[in-house]
Amino acid sequence: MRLKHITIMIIAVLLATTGFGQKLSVGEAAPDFSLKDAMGKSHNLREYRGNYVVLEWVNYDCPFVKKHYDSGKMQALQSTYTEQGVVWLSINSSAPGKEGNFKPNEIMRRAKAHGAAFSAYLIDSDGQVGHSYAARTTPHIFIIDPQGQLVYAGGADNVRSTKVEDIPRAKNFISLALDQALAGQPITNSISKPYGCSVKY
Amino acid sequence: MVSVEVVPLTHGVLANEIIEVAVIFSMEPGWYTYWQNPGEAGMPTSFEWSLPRDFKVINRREPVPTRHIDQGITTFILDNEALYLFSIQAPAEIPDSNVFALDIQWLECKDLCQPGSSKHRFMIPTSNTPSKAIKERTALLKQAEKRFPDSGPISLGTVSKKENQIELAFRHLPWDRKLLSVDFFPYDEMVYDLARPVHVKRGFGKQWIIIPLLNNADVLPESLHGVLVQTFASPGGPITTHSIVNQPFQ
Repeated sequence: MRLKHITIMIIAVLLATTGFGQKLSVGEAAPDFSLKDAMGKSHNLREYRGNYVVLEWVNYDCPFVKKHYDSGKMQALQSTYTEQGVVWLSINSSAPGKEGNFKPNEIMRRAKAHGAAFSAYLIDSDGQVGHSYAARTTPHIFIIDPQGQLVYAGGADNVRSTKVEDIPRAKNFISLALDQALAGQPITNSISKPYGCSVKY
Repeated sequence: MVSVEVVPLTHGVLANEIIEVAVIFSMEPGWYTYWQNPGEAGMPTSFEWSLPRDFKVINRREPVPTRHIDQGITTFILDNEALYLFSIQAPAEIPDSNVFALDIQWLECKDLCQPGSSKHRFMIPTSNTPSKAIKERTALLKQAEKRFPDSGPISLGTVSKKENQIELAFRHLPWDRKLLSVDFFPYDEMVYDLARPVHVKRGFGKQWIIIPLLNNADVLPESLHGVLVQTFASPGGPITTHSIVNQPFQ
């Protein structure tokens, strides 16, 4: 019986340290990472200290992501906020062979076709960064303040649908959070339920 | 991948009567749709009714979902065949013919996800005598009942919050009625930590069901509301129950 309890405890400790099921809370330090972009250049989160950073989990074939890009909303947000000094990192954690995992030239072709205006598109094919943030959906948004603290985690907006026509009536949580943060105000909606396709780890 | 059929379970409608309409999802192997709380990803299926004047949807029953864990992401899904049953109350005064329309939106997934939708329109004539259910009704409902949760009251003990979990302590559980396994499908989203397992804790001759909470779930809903699935040991083999619980927190 004692051995059984010890085994259960060991499994519990292992689960707690693998990243699976670990939820990152707003107010905690954002986990550091280093990932390569579609051009092969490395990006380390620490390099962007001093700026607000948006992490946008993306899969261009997911119908929820398509809604945000076909409407032009996500690209407009990327342009608006990168012009104000925000670093916008789109991250793809699809494993090789799974939906949304593209070769670099295909990523660039799609990004250009969308008119995407991210700072970088990062490739996380082994899913380590995705798991460290407990990224569950595409899109799933995390906003990090200049001190490296997580200040927003959740969905892009509050209308859970795949329809482009729902974008105008949706409350966009990214712009709400960034407008408040950039104005030096506290973020009123710092957590929301992310919705979308599951990340294809 | 997914097809939908809408079947009114009556030939006619009488004033003040409650009629039933079945919505049957047939999913190809490997494909699934999402339950009303989809879990950590996905989208619940939505039903938008356009009813004749003063008709009202008064109840909706749907199957118990399956917990689907893929690479650490937990979702609540419906697969194979899923039957939703809508109960619609007719008003005191009804016209000769009644046109019903239903707009359904869903997300269907296998290795990838795609949105699905269908629109349905059907008529049920007004009847002067209590309506006779269609022949298929009994067979359909018999099959559906197996997957619906039991909505009757169940005997639960106290439900309380202890640190980052909910503990459900049984009051009247016979000492020899051992819980083998348990699961809980909450109606409330963003409250429970779906990545950590619902489990049974035993000690001092008692059994508790432990339901993990999210770290940031500081504000609890008023009650534990969802579908509780329990499998008990019994001399004739394990018995599984599916019950809707709505138990206020202590």
